[in-house]
Amino acid sequence: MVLPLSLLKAAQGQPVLVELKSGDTYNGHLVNIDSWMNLNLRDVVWTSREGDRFWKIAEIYVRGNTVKYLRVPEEIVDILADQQQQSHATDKSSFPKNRRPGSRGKRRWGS
Amino acid sequence: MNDLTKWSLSQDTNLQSPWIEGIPGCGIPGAASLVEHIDRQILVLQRDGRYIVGYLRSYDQYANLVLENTFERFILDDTYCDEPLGIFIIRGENVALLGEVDEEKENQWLSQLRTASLEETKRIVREKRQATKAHLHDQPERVEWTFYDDAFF
Repeated sequence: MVLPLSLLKAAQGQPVLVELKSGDTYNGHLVNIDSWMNLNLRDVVWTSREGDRFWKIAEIYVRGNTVKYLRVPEEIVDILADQQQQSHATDKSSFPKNRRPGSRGKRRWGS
Repeated sequence: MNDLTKWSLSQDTNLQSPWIEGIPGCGIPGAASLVEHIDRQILVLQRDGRYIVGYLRSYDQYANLVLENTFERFILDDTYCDEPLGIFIIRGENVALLGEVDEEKENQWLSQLRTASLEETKRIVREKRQATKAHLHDQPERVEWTFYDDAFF
């Protein structure tokens, strides 16, 4: 399962829509995102809450705790699928992911 | 609509087992968890009053949600309207509540409603919301307390 913040990390470079708690929307390319959901966008169009005013802004920084939601393009799913395929291909260790805890410990009682 | 081919989790692991690593919310039988809703259609009521419906693909410890095939559902008295929204990532603190959609019951209910045009519905809903919000900050009527009826004055 791709965690929400990992999905946002993978969306870097993609156009995203961010709506803040205030109701304003920012449409722009995602430059960077961190673990607090702070965002860096470029070539941004700001739309007011009522949808009647617009501003073009070159670069903005959005503090994560002001975000209400984000929308990302559907292509992100393809990007993720490619990423996961690549990581599975290069994953050399046969470390079993689905296991019961304690099964890695020393074997006992001659089994 | 529920295309799981690119989201691999529910296909190759047993979601019900509490011992699967990497799935948050497991390990305490009987506790509320979002893992049961993964890859199912859920309805989210956001704190701003909006209804968002989508297939839950992912969540984390803050209950940030990732929804696919999302749409916003506008509901008026006897009409409804859906606006498709694609992939949605909701910050957890903005969720008031969420629940799984029972497709049968939903179809039953929806068939009794009329659909409306998106533009018209959005306009009406927006006006309604503004109307209700307009009175939020009204001052209460000030009451003058007088004791002139008091027998001892």
